Amino acid sequence: MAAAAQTRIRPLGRGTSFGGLFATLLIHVSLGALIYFAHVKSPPPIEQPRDMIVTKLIALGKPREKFWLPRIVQPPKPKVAPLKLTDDVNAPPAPKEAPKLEDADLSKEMKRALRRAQMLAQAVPEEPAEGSLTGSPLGRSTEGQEGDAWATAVDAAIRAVWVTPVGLITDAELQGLSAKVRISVSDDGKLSNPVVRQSSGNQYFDDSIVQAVKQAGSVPPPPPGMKHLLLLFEGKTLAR
Amino acid sequence: MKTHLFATGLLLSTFVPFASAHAAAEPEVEDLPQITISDPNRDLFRLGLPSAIGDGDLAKTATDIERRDLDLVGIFRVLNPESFPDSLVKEGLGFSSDLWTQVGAQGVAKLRVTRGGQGVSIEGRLYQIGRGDSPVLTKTYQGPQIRPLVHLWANDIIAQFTGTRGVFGSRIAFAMTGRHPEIATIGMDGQELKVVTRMRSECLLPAMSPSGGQIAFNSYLRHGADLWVVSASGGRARHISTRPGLNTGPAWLPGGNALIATLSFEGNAELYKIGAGNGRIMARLTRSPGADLSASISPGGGQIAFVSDRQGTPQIYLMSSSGGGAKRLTYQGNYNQTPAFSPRKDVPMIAFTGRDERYVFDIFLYDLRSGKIERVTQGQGSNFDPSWSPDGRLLVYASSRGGLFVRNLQTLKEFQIYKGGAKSPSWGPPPRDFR
Repeated sequence: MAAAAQTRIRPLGRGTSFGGLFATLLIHVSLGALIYFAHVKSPPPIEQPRDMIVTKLIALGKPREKFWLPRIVQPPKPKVAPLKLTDDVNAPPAPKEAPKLEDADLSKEMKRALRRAQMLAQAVPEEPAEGSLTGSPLGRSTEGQEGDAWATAVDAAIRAVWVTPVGLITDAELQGLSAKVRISVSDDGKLSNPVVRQSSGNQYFDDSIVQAVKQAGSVPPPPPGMKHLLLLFEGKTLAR
Repeated sequence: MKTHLFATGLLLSTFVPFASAHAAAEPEVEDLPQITISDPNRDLFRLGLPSAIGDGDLAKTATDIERRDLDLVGIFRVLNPESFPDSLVKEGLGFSSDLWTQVGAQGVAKLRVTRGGQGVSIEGRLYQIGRGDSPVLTKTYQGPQIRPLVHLWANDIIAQFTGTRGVFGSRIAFAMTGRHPEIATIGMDGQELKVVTRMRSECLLPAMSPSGGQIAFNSYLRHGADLWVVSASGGRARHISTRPGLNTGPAWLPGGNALIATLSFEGNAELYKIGAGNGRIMARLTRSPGADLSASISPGGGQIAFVSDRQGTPQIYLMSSSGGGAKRLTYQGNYNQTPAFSPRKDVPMIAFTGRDERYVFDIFLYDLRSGKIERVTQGQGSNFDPSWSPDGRLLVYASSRGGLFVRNLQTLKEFQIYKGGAKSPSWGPPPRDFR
C-alpha cells in the first residue's frame, strides 16, 4: 500500500528525496564521463607488430666466383666402362646402353622409373641461395624489406661489441637469460639512451647489454617508425 | 523511500566498478618494434688495476701482488696499466667512470698502502662501471706483512663478484724432483717457496692435512717405502708406518686424525685406514687380487676414489669409505691414475690423470652425476697429478713443460706458478680468515 503510493511521480517540493536527486545527478555525471573518456581513449588503429626475428636476416652473399664466369674449356673425354651389376659370374653381361622408354620389352616399374627420371631431368635446377653483400653471416633470407635490412645492420653493430663475462656467468646460466632494453636512434644512426625495461635477473648480463648499446657503432638512418625500439637480448646460442 | 534509495544504490554500484575498470585499462605495454639479438661474445671481465698509492716500494709490491692474484684466479682480464692515460694514473682513490670506460674497464680496484707503527695497513676500493661513482666495496686491512693483506683484499674482490671467497694465502705442497727430491710448499700465487723436509732421500706423494698444519708423505730414507708426517712449517719428520713392503699414497680423512694409505705388508697392496698419530691399523678397506692405490676422499668423507688394476689395467674405482662395493668409473684408456675429489659437495667431480693412445698424460674430469668425462689439458706436453683448490675453482697439476700449472676450470685460463722439477702437488686448506 505504501509502495503503491510511492511509485506515483511527485512534483518537486515537500517530500523531495535529495538522496534520489543526488543519485540521479551522479548517474548522469558518470555516464557523461564514460562517454567522454571512451571517445578520447579509443585505441589507434592497430598495426601488425613488426617482430623482427634474426632468422630473417639477409644472408651474406659471396661475390661471383671466377669459376662461373665464361671461359673456353675442353670437355673431358667420356669414359665408357662396362657396368658391373652383380658379383655373380654366371649373370648375363650388363647392357651397353641405359634402357629407353621406347624399348619394347620393359617392365611397368622400369617404364615408371624412366618417366620419372625424364621429368626430373627437365626440372629447373635450383639456384644457390643468393644474398646481399651487406648481409649477415647468420642470415638465411634471400630478400628483405627495408626494415629487415636495417634490423640486420643494428644486430651487426651491437653484436660486434656485446660481450658477457665468461668467469661470472657460466655458459649454462647464459642460455636462460634474456632482457629487454628500450633505445632511441638519432637521424644519423647513433644508438642512445638505453633503458632496461625488463631485467634478466643477472646484474652482469644487464650491465653487458647497456654497455653494448653505449659502445655500438653507427647504423644507417632509421626508417620511419624506428626512432624508438625495443631490443630483446637473449643469451642463448643460435642453433645453426 | 527506502527501497527507492536502495534501488538507486544498487544501480550505482554496478556503474562505479565499470568506470574505474575502464580508467585503469590504460595500456602499459609499449607497442614499439622489437629486434631480437642473441649469441653474445664471451670474454673475461675487464678489471683495471692502477698502481697502489703510497710509500714507494711497498706500494709497488702491493700492486704486483694484487695484479698477479687477480690474473691467476682466471676470472678477470687485468688491463695493461701502460694503456692508462696520465689523468687516470694521477686520479688517486677517486673515480671518474667516463675515463675508465674509454680505457675499456668494466671494474676498477684501487689500493692505498700506508706504513704504520705496528706494520702495514691498506685501504681498498672497488668500483664498477654503471654503478655510479661511489665504490661498491671499501675495506681496510692491517697486519705485520703486506702480502697476506693484499691476498685478503683479492679474496674479498672475488667474493664480491662471484659470491664465494677466493683462497689466496693457501699453500700447495709438492715433491721436488731432481737433485734434492724433498717436499716443499709454495704459496698458490707461486711465491714464498719453502722446503719442508731434509730427508736427503726420495720423497713422494705429499698430502696436506685438513687443517694445513701437517704433511704426510712417502720416503725411502730407511730403504723401503715408508709413511712419514712432518709439520708444514718444517722440522723433524716422524715415521708412522714402516711395515714391510709398500707404505704409500696417504690421504687424510676429514678431521685430521686418520689417513687412508696403501700398505702391502699382508702380501698385496691394499687400502687401509690408519691413525695419523701412530699409524695403528683401524680398518682394512679392500680385499682384491690387484693392487689398490692412490686414494682420494670425497668432501663429506663418505666415499673413496682409488686406483686398482684388479681387472687388468689401472682404472679409477669408487667405494664407500667403510670399504666394499667398489664400482669402476673409467672404461676408456688403459692407464687412469691419481683421482682427486673436488671439494665442492654440490658439484661432485673427480679429476684424474689419463694416458691417451699416444702415450701422453693429460688431466681429465669425471662428472659423478652424468658419468661424462671431459678432457682438461691437451697438446701441451704431459700433465699429471691434479689437485683442487679449496673453493673448487682451480686445478693445480704438474707438467712435462717443467713445473706446476694452475688452471681455472670455467674459463680455462692457465698460469705457471712454479718452474722446475715438481710432481704430485697437494693443495692445502684456505687461509684462516676464510673460515
